[in-house]
Order: sequence, then structure tokens, then C-alpha cells
Amino acid sequence: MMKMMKRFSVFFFVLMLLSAAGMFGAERGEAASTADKLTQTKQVTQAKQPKQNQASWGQDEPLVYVEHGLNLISAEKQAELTRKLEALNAKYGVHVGIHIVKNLPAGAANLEQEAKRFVESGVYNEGTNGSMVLYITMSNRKYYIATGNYMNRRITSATGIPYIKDEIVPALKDNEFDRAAELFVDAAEKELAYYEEEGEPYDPANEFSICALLIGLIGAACVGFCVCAYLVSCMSNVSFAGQADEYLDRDSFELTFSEDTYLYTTTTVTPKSKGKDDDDSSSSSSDRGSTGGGGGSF
Amino acid sequence: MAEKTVSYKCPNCSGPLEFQPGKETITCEYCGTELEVETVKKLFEKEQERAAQAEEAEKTKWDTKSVGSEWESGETDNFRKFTCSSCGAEIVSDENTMATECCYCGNPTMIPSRFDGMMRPDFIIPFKKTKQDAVNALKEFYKGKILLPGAFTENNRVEHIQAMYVPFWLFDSKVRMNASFKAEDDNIIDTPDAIITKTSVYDADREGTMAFEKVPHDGSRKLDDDYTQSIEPFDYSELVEFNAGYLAGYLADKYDVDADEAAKYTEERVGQTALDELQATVTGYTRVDCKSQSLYQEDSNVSYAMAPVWILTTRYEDKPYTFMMNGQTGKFVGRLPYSKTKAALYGAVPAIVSLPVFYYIAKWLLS
Repeated sequence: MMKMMKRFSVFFFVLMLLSAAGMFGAERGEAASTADKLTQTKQVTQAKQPKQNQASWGQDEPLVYVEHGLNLISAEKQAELTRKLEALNAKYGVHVGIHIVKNLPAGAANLEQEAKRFVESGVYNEGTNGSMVLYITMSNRKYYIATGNYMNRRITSATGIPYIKDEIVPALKDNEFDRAAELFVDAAEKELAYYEEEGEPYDPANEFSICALLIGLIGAACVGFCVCAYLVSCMSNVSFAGQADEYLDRDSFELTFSEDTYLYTTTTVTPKSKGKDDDDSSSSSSDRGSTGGGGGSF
Repeated sequence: MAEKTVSYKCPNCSGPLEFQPGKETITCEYCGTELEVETVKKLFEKEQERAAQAEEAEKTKWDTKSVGSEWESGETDNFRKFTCSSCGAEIVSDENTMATECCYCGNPTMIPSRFDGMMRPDFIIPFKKTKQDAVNALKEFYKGKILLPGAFTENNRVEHIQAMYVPFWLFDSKVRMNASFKAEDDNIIDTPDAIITKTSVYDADREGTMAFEKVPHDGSRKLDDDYTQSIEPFDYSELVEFNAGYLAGYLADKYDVDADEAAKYTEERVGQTALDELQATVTGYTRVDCKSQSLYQEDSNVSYAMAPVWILTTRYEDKPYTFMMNGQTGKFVGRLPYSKTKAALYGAVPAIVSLPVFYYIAKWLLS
């Protein structure tokens, strides 16, 4: 009897263990399923919820963010730029902002990828017609202007971003971040306004250039002068005869002495242009997909 | 008073004789008598001698009279007056005129005394082109000159068309030239980082001989050398022994640039061509520059010839314009006036057309 009771107790214990293990496994599977569903939802909604491990930004990310302690843009200027950006974003249905940090957040691969991820995250997704951010990391003095949510249809990586870069880089190099930020906002507004009016992205090449006109005028004047000089020269066929070629008896020519003596060799080395200066490196990406942009060092 | 000039008159009708371009004979326009050039020459040789003597006598007389006269010696040195043997009118010419025509009766007149003290021409190239050819050539020359002022062709007419035998020196020379050239050969090596140019420098010495035949230089100081050089070349295959009969009816000058002076200019031309020939033998190099050169005349010969030239003169806005035509080949040269307004307009049109092109190229380069 005792032996039977002992066997029953062992069986019951094993059964309990199996039941417990089964329940634990079921709960775990359910949790995993929920997590998968959440991931899918996140992908569909373009990560509406900010990740908790990405510091310093979220639903309340300011339009002009300067990491505490950098003191690059005065509070008054930040307020002024924020007002301008709010008006700009409201007017064109976009979300344009400035984000200046000392270092990239932990886990970020590089500035370009982080800026592109950033511009399609959080409040930047509120821009129905697109989003754009000027992302600056001060530790390595690099910047990247990323466009997201199909902003690249309005501000293209090929023409629009280089224009903004040309506007802001000199100020960044001079450490005039107030001015650089303002120029960024102005350039963005100019390009967005252009798209609204013309229905096509802004291209600086289409703008009238005084410098090009001056060069063109010089070139055209040279053409006019050459044509004029040629026509004037046609008015006379009187010329000085400096040679007597027509009177040379070709058969009479005889070369009586010919000697070539090697003297020396000189070597000239002309370095090839590297094309891009390391200190002013820049990059741009294509406009395939929803993101685009370009950046460099300053 | 002995005649100082000789009129080439037809022995048959006394009409003026004139050599017709393209013909071997002299034909009287009035009675049609045809005379060989040689015959005319012999016919009037004695008359020329007599006229020359008379002129010499008159010259001495004239020089005596000029003492204390109102003419200054410098002015009168260039004047000579003659009496036309046909109409008796006084003809004034400069000291170099050998043949001309009477401005009153148009009679062709020779001034034989001018042949004295100078070499007799060895050759002459007879005229082949007529006055009408010269006029046509001028009209042809106007064509395509879009800057030509309208008033020049509309209201302007050629003031003088003159056929003239111009004295030319013809230089035959066999020359030897040696020259030293700096020859450079580039070897360009393209590496990823730089372009390396290795230039090998050589000293190339060359010497050669060559012959030049009948290089011309005009012997008239009055004529612009640029013009007489521009109407070159003459076809020397039609060069004939000089005969004064060919001068009949044409203005002819004797030389006032002697052979020595002309030789200096010719030597420069010959030297340049000789140098070019030697330089052409320095081959296989990227660049060749002459460092030094020497020209030696090994053999030379100079002959004196009369070459046919048509000279056309006109004036436009008080400026004289001269045109010249080779009386043998018809090569026509000259300088035409141009309208500054037209020049500005024709310059502005391509400038305006090319402006957008340059503008967009500049924009593209600046972007």
C-alpha cells in the first residue's frame, strides 16, 4: 500500500511539473506572438512610438534641438527659428527641424543612416508632405540634411540639398550656427515655396545668374570681336611676303649635314586633382524611395 | 630744236602705235599695219639716240637757267618736262619716267634719256591683261565685302587706271644654310596620382644647300612693297628679252632702288624659306626651335626685268585707295575702306546669338 502511494505521489509530482512547464511554454508563446504583432504594427505605422533607447527625442521633439551644454544657438534665436519653422510646417504640410547633438546616440551606425531614420520617426512623421532635418554632430563636425516621407519629391538630393549645403556650409565653417540655422530655414522655405508655385523641385541651375551673364557677355563679345576682325581683314588682301617658298627649286635641296646630340632630360610632375577635399567632403544620396539627403564636414 | 622725245608713230599713217596685250606684234589702230616688235625697235633706235642727246643738251641748259630761279633745287630735281613730238604740248614727268603718254593727245611717248646711266632691262613680261580686265577685277574684288560702305561703290568711280611696267630685280641664288635647333621630345607617363612628363632635350645641327630662281623685288620706291609682293608670282615662262617696243603705250619707270638694296630684302625672304626647309628635316620631336642660323650665298645672279602692273586709284572720304593687278596673271590686290557702323552691326549679331550659349555654358561651369 505504501509502495503504491509512493508511486502515485511521484506520478502526481511529474504530472505537476509537466503541467507547470506546459503553462509556462504557452504563456511564453503568447507573449512572443504579441511581440511579433507589435513589431508588425510598428512597421506598418512607421514606428509611431519612439524607441525608449533613443535618447533626446520623442513625440515632443522640439523643432530646433540643441543638446544641452553645446550653447551653439541662443535661446532667443531658437525661439525665433521655432516660430518660423512652425509657420513653415503649417503652411506646406511638412515637418522641418534642426537637430544638433554632440555625438550620435549609442547604436547608431553613422550620421547618414541615423539622420534618415530620425527624419522618418516621431513627430517628423507628422509632415504629410514630407519631412526634413538638419542633423549635426559636433564631435566630428559633420552634418547631414535628411529628407523623409517623400520630401525628396519637393527637395531633391541632386539639386535641392546641394543648394541648402552651399547656403549653410560657409556659416558652419565660421561657427556661426545662428546664421547657419536661419539660412537652412530660409533655404527650405524658398525651395518649398518654389515647388508650390512651379510644381517642380527647385533647381539653382534654373535661376538667373549675374556671374554667368557677365561671363557670357565676355564670351559673346569675344565672338563678336573675332567676327568683326575677320570681316575687316577680308577688306584687304595686301600682305607682306616674308618667305620665298614659290621660288625655291625643290629638287635642288640637299641636306649636307645632319646630327642630333642628346643633351639632358627634365622631369615634370603634375599632381592630379583629388576632386574632393577631405576637409570639405560631402556626399549625397539618390532619391529612390522615401528618403534622400546629403551631408559632409565643416 | 631737236626732239627730246620719241613718239612711236606708224611709218604708214603716222598714227600712234600701241602694244596690244597678248600679241607679239604692234598694230596701228588707225591703218591696221602690223609691225614686228624688233622692227619697231630698229626703226626708232636712231630716233631714240637723237632724242636722248637733245634731252641731255636741254638738261644742261635747264640746269643753268635754274640758278637763281624761283624754283628750289629740291623741287626741280624731281621734275622733267618734255615736248610731245606729236602735238607739241609740254609734258611734265618725274625723273624716273621712261615711257608715258601725252596727256593732251594720248600719244605714246618714250623718254630715251632715262635709259642712260642705268642698266638696260634684261627681260620684260608683256602685258596680257587689258584695262577692261582690271576694271572687271576691281568689281569682282568688291563682291562679298559686306563691310564695304554703300557710298564707295555707288558714288565712287576709279579716278585713275594706269598700266605700268614696274622695274623688278630678279635674284637667282644658290645658298648654303646651317642652323642649330633645340629639339624636345616629351614622354608622358600617366599614373593614378600624377602626370609625369619626361622631356628629352637634343641639339640638332643641320646644313643644306638649295637654289632659288628669280626671286623678285621691285625697284620702285614709289610703289608699296607689300602691294608688289602681293601680286606675285609672275609666270616666268613668258619672260622675254627686253625690247623697248613693249613699252609703247604704257607708263614705265626706271629703278630707284638699286640691286644691292633690293638684295637685302630678298636675302631675308630666302633665309626664312631656307630655314624652314632645314627645320622640316628635324623630325620625331615634340617641339623644335631654332637657336642660331647662318646663310651663305654660294652662287648668285641678278637680272633686271620690267613687269606689267595695272594700278587703280580712287579716293573715298578724302583718303586715297590704291589697287594693283598683276598685268600678266590678273591677280588683284588692294585695301578697301569699311563702314564702322556695318562692322559694329555684323559683330553684334553673332555676339547676341552666342550670348545665351555662353550664358548656359557659364552657368554649367559655375554650378
